[in-house]
This record gives sequence, structure tokens and C-alpha cells, in this order.
Amino acid sequence: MASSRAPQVVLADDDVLLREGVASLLARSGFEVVGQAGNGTELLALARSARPELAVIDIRMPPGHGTEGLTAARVIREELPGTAIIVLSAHVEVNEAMDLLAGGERLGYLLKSRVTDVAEFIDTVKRITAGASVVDPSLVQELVRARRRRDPLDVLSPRERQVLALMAEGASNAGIAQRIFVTEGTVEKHVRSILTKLDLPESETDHRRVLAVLKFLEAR
Amino acid sequence: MNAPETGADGTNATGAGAARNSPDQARLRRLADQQAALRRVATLVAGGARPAEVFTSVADELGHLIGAEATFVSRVDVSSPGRGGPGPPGSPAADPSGGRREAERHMTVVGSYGRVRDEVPIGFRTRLQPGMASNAAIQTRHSARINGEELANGPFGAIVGKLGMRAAIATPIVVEGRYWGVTVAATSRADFPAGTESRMADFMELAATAIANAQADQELRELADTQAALRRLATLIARGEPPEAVFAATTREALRHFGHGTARMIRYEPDGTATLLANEGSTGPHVRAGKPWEGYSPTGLTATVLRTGRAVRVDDYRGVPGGEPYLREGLRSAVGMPIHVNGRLWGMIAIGSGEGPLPPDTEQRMTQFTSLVATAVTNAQNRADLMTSRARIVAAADETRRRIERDLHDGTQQQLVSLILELRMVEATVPAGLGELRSKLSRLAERLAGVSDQVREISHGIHPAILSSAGLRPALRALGRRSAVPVDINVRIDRRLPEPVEVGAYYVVSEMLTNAAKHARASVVAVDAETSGGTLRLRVRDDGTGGASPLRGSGLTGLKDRIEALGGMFSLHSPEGGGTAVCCELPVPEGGQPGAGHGQ
Repeated sequence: MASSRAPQVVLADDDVLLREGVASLLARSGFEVVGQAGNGTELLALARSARPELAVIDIRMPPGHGTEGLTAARVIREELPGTAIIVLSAHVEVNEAMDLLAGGERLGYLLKSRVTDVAEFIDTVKRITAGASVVDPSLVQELVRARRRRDPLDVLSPRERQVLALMAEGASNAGIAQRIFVTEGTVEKHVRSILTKLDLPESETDHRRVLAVLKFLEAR
Repeated sequence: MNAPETGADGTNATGAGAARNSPDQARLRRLADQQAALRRVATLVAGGARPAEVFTSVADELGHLIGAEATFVSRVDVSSPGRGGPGPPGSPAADPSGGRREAERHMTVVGSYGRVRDEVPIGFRTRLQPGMASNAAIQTRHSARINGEELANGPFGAIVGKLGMRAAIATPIVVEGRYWGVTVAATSRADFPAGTESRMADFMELAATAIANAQADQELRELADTQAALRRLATLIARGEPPEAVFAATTREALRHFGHGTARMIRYEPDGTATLLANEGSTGPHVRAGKPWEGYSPTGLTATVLRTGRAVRVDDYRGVPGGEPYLREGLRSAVGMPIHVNGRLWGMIAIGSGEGPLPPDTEQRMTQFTSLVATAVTNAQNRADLMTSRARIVAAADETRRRIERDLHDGTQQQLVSLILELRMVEATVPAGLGELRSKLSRLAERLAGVSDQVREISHGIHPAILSSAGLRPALRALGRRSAVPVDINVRIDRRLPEPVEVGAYYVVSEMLTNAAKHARASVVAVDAETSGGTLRLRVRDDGTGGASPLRGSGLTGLKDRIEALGGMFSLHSPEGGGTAVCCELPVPEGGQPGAGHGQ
């Protein structure tokens, strides 16, 4: 991202107050909010004309109050593949996450309330804009904690579980190293061990790694 | 007294030593013969013989006693005027003037002996007419004799001629003080000897006891038979069998009990048309069960019952304009009984016979059947109403939950997030020197975030959004992941089901998982769901302590209500120490849209 120019953002949410709040948060954090929409149709028109670097979309919007945001995200990804997309939802569901992330890189699926943890939210937005795929930690926690009778995760050490969860959230090896206070080399060793133990293929990108781990966790 | 017998007496005519017989001896002999005959009849009755056997035996013994070659015993019934509504014009029962009608008598042969056995078999039924010995016997209440030309030219002339009969005597049969029937004896000789009437009367008076017993026996048997049929039908109704099954069964029983040809059930529709619900017995091109019942005669049963709301009979279709189709299918007479449901004429049961008019007590005996049909219809309607209202109540409750979830999601939760955001901005503007204020604001924001999380959990518990957006499979898998007890989930459903069904199934699994974790101390729960043949089958079972009872007011009671409100079946099996299993079957439309929003 060129430091000279602020990344351009469009926002979509039918709750004006909340939308304005997020807009002002992003504006204060070095983004340029180039437009706001109250539903999927408006968002698409806006995205087509503004061609922003990032779209932050509420999943549930008029008219159906269902998963309109997800549908709009899919269209934007197809028409404007360069646009990073963050879908915010009151509830995180793994099928929605995988549905969204199947669209490629620079995608985020987060709990709406994450915006209130300002510093971390802005950090996440920047990571996504820069190319990462991010899945809300609470969703990953739900997947990792789900109890299974013969749990394939039982072969992992507690540290490896922690690393696996961070992989699912979309953290890079460097990001993981930073989070658990070890060297990147150590993380690499953990990752290799995890992939071997769980019989998962080596992924070329962090994005593919997220999808592979999510899929594994969902199906176990 | 000392004069020898003339030899004209049939009983002694064959006696080798007739000349030696004094009148006393002859009387004694006759008495002994009569006693022996009665003993044989009585033995039959005591042995539980069927009435037809008893009556035939009476005819047989009488024939031997008086030297007749043909005898028969018949019941006589009277159809009182005014019964059966308007008789169709031209039928024997009809009275074009619409005024009073003469009582009509019919006789039905119940026992037959000798040469008449083929010509006048058991079941033969005819109207008593002038010129018949039987008619005279019933009207005069005394034995009546007919012979010569009078017999040859009478109503039985053809039969009499064919069998070569030349004289006949009829004697009324009085059972328990009532005129029960008539017995007829005929001979090919020129005439019966004098005194035959009184000998017949003597014998029949004594035989009446046997007839009464046999009759009572038959009535008991018929009653038991009818009661058994009614009980079978009542059981069907009580089980809540579909009305169609009750209609078919009732029609079948009606034919068995009353009809000698056909039984039909017809429903009057609100638009004035009629539908043939069930048909048993004879049939024709105009008979299409389950289809509109059309082209019936405006003076026939269907139209007259509809017009009058009362029982109607046709004694002879030959006199009914438009009666040809019924004649062609072999019917001669019929009775139609109205079925009233909640005070409204709902339909009719009609029975038809290929023989003469149906017995006069047919209408009265059929009322038990029609009232059972009325009960079945009322039950079915009540059940349908109940089902609809239960389904409405469940739907209304679900709609309320969805609305609360939406209010929480789109209102409360959004506002909380907005508030926290605002608080964070205020926090960011606090000057550096006021560190304590800043950290207080920060803690406030964190506590509010906790409230926001709680609201999210609550709203998810009220109605899981994923169920509406993605369907049963992802919703159940999500439920399984959040369960404290490990869950094996196997969902073979590849399409969206009607929302009430998805919601119902979801709550069943949700409640069972809660139960398994909280009460049953289970170590694993298995969930199987699949659709096949228009049915969703859901099975949830755990390996916990069992002993769950819907009676104990657990959440399981609500589940049963909910599933049954959807027309489904819910069964709980939870023996003490043997785990808990719930099986549900819910009707779902076949086909439908393919599943949407599945992540894999």
C-alpha cells in the first residue's frame, strides 16, 4: 500500500449510526471513506463507481435481513477482484466463513462487535487490505473447542493447538511468532508437525492454509 | 267313536293295519308322531342349529305329519304407511294421491321343504296379495285353504302349475302372542283331508316355541354381529384413522348387514353437487368412487334425501324415472339414510337390493351406522381444526421469537456496538494527563462489550439466524459444536424444508443436547436426520441415565406438542439406565428447492 495515499473504503450497513461510527473510526485510522450504502444494491453501485481498495459490509441488510452482505461480497469479488472485503456479522458461522473465503485472498469474516476493540480491528483491517485472509477468532475457538468422541486434535500438543487456531484465524507464521512469543523458525516447526500429524497438505499461501484448516476443523 | 277311520286321513293312509285302528289309537298315533316331530325340532334348537335349519326342519316335519309334498315357513312383516318418505312415483309403495296408504305385508321364506325348495327358496320374498292362502291366513288369523281353480289362477299360479299342486293350506304362526309369520303346505292330491287345518294349527302352535327360540337366537346373533361391526368402526374412528378409511369400512359393513346388492356413501358438497365417497358391491359406469356423483334421478334417493333430510326408500326402481342405471346394475330396491353432522345434512348411506323391497326395519337398524359416520366426520373435522389451530399457535410463537431476535439484533445489539464505538472515541480524546479517566472509560467500554456478547448469545438462543439463512444441516452442525457432550451428526438432507419443520427439528435436537448434558450425564449423542418419501425422519439418542419422561414437565413435552402440531409423530424412549432416544417423523413436501448456502 502506497503510504502517500490513504486507502479508499466503502461501507455498507443499514444502521446509520453504527455505519457513521465505523466510518469515523476508519477515517481517524488513515482510511478515506469514499461512500456509504444502506443495502446490497446501493453498495454494488457504489463499489462499481468508486472502485475502492476495501469494502466493509454488514452481512444482514434490507430487504430480506438475511445474508445480503455475503451475496454482495461475492459479486464485488467477481467484478472487482482487487477489492479487499470484510464482512461483519452479529453471529459467526463456519459455513458463511468458508463460503466467503472460497472467493480468494484479501477477505475477512468478523464479528461485528470487533469494531469496538479499536486498535485490534484497525490492525486486522490493515492486514486484510495488505493481502491476508482473516477469520474471527471466536469462530475458530468454537471449531477447535467442539467436543468429539474420537478427536483427531488429540494428537496435538497444547502449543500446537494454539498454533493451529492462529493458522485458522489467518495469521502468518510471523504473526503467529509474534503472538505466542517464539521465533518464526519455531512456528515453522510447529506448523510442519501439525500438518504431518493431521495429514494436511502444505499450502502455498496463508489464504489456502486458512481454508484447509477451516475445512478440516469443520469436518472433524 | 267306534266307526273306523275313513282312510282319508293322511297319517294313517299308509298304515298296513288301518282296519284294526280304532279312532283312539289313530289319535294316539298322531299324537306320538307329533311329539316325536317336535322332539326332533327341539333337539335341533337345543343343539344351536341355525334358524334356517330349524325352520326347514319345521317345514319338513309338518309335511310328513300332514302328508304334504311341499311346505314352507315364512316371516311376515308389515311396512306401515308413511315410513320411508315419499315413495318414488309408480313404485308399489307409492301413493300418487299423497294420502294415507294401506299397510303392506311381505313374506320372506325362512324354511322350505319338498318340491317348493327350488321354486320358493329360503330368502324368497314377496308381497302378500289377495288370492294367496297366506294372505287370507294373516288377515283372518285362521288357517285358510285354497284349491282348484282359485289356486291355479292365483298369484302363485305359475309355480303351482309347474309343481302340479292342487290344494294349499296356510296357517298363521303366532310367536309370543304376535303374528310372526305363516306356514304353507301344498299337495298334488285333489285336496287335503278335512281336519288338516286344525292339525297344522296344533303342530304350529307347539312348534312356535322352537321358532321363538331359534328366532331369539338369530336376533342375538345378528345383534352381536352388528355390535361387532359397530365396534370395529368405532375403533377405527377412535384411532383417528383418516375419514376415507372409515367411510370405506362403514360402507363395507353396511353392505354386509343390510344390502343384498350394493352399499354407497355419498357426500353433499356445499356447492350443491354430490360426491361418491365409497362403493361396495354391484357397480356400473355411473359408479366412480371418489368422483362426483352425477346424473341421479330427481325423484331417487340422492335428490330426495337432500331435499327432505330424511330416510328415503325406493321399493322398485322400475317405477323411478331415471332409475335405469340402477336396474342395469341389477338393483331393484334401495334405502337411503341421511347423515347429519352438527345439525347439517352432510351425506347419505344408500343400500340397494336386487330382490324385493328391503325389510321395513332397515332404516331403524341403519341409524346406528349413520350416527357412527357422523361421529367419524365430526371427529375428523375437530381433529383438522385442532391441527390447524395448533400449527397456527406454533407458527405464531415462532414468528414472535423471530421478531424478538430481529429486534435484539437490529436494535439493541447495534445500538450497544454504536455506544461502545462512541465511548472508544471519547476515550481517545481524553487528554494525556487524565489517565485515570481514560482507563475508567476503557473499562466501561469493555463491560458494555460484555453486555453486547450476552445479547448476542440470547438472541441466538431465541432464534438461530443460521437456520433461516442456511437450513437444517449447518444449523445442526453448529448446535453440535456448541454442545457440552460430543455429538455424532449425520444429516442426509439436500434441500431446504418448510421453515416450521426446520425449526421443529432444530428444537428437538437442541433440547435433547441440553438434556444429555444437564440431566442424562451422557458421554455421546447421535443425531440422524434424513428425508425420504415425503417424510423427515429425525433420531436423537444418548447413552445417558435415561428415565426422561414428558410427564415430568421437561422441555420434551413442548417438543412433542410442537412436532404433533406439524402433523408429525414424536416418540420418546427413555428407560431408566438405558439412555434416551427420540424419534420424530414429519411430513414434508416431496422435491422442493435444493439446499442453499452450504459451505461444502
